[in-house]
Amino acid sequence: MALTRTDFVVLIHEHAPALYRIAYRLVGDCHDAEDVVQETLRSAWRSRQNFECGRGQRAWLVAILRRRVIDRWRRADHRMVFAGDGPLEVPVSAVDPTTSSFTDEMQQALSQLPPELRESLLLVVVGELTHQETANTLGVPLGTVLSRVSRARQRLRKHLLATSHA
Amino acid sequence: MSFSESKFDSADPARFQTSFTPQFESDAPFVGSDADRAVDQALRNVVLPDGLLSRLGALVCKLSDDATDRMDYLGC
Repeated sequence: MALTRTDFVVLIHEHAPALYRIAYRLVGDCHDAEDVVQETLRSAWRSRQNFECGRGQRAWLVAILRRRVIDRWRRADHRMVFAGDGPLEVPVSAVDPTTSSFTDEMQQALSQLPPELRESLLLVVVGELTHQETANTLGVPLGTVLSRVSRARQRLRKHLLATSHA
Repeated sequence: MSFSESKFDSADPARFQTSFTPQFESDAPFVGSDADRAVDQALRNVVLPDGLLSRLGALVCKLSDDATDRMDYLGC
């Protein structure tokens, strides 16, 4: 059953904060992050007939957001930060936006992670997707996500510890 | 709860699935050690802009009721 506008408003209030946080961690700028969320909502509304009530609402929205971020970086001729094994990988050369605008220590630490680790970690931790939902979104096996998230946390801890002792 | 990378040493995918799939297929996000939780908390510590939800709500109200266009199942 397609979403009604009322349903959609409820959905937005429930998930928009997480969407914004993921977008911010991915693009590193508050204005760009809000733009990405708005684009995500427009896309989600246009594809609302495919929405399945109660089934992975957050994952559905995060998958759309991920595509909108990729589109944005393509348009800006930025290097593709998503480097998953899924079909969305499009390698182009330019600047990783998360390395150009450090807004806090964590953002800087994130920029030190390989893209595939960063993306997996953000979907699980900030997006609060299950590991299986993240695997489905990225088109990689569950074990790959588990391993990536573990390694990403480990590297972040090391980086933050090194920074705090510097 | 925490898990160590040493648990991924198994070369047998079937063993891996049997051992780890149930606990990670729950709806709750994975909860790690204290250090992991601190990292996770810092990652989530993104302040929402003032009025974000209001602006998004206004956007939703302006969205056209027209039929869906050339979007795939993900809205892409």
